[in-house]
Amino acid sequence: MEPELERERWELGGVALRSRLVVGTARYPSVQVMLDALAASGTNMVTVALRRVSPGSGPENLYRILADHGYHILPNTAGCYTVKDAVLTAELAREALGTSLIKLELIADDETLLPDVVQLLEAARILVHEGFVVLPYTNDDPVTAQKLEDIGCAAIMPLAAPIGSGLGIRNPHNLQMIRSRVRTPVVVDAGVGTASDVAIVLELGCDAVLLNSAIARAHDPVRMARAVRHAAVAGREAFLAGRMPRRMLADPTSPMAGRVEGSVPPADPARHP
Amino acid sequence: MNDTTPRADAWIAVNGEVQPLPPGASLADVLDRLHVDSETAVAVAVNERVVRRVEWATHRLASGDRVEVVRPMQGG
Repeated sequence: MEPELERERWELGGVALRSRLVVGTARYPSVQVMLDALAASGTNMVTVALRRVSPGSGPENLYRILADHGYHILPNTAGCYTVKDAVLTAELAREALGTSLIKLELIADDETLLPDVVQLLEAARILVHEGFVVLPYTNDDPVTAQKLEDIGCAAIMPLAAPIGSGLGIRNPHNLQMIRSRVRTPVVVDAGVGTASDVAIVLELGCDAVLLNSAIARAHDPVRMARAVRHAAVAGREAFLAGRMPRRMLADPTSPMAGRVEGSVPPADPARHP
Repeated sequence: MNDTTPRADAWIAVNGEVQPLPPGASLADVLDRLHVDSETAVAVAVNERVVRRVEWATHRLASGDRVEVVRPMQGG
């Protein structure tokens, strides 16, 4: 553990956090690897899904394990295709976990897992009205992001690429536009493939990254978790440091005056044909 | 949807699985069979309405009720 890495506090849905990573708990080779990876990532908040208790099998107490390790738990409505299912899943999550936080996912189809934003807006309205702290998984569309904020969502969670695709940051411009147009935290959710993607998101000024497969499906999940932790710190620091302006041409770093005599640049063929 | 088809025996569906409903059974009785107790992080809905933990013992089930019992699982 390197607790000194994240020096800044921020807030997501009323929860004080240090890490800029929200990490999923699915698809790890084992529970122990999951716990080791979560620790290595430095995260303070993890996601869980809600699924049926199968008849005859005693429930494994994932909640207890995660809570005992001190993680804030963010339940999701993954796999919901209708407003009705998403609202009921959120209500069940609140009852099971005693939290009003909900990562609201409304999926359009199995192949893309892209958000159905029409239903998303409707479900968000209902859940905000019911007192939930709604964190919606949405498209990288600045207009939808603003509508979700107007409804009262506590954060906007645009995708970088389809869930589980690992394709990385496909449209940095839209993410930046979302960041500049809403006041809530912007948490880029889905599509991150490796550490540099995390750094890019935070360099853009987004507040955090939610990721799962990039860690869980890496060859060495614990090592990747450590890498994304450093990337998150690096990206955030770079954003706060303020990057230099881009130029179209070079700008010499070493002073031009006092060079050895005879160092004359070759004639520019474009200018002196 | 209420199933109004006449049946010889009372039944309920628990997580999609149809099972007989003993006379006078409460929700807590059904949850016992799933080894779910008040200590476990689970939530229950009957006919798509959440039944709070404090009501499990007193909530009587009727034939045709659809019971959903869910728990947190690994997810992203």
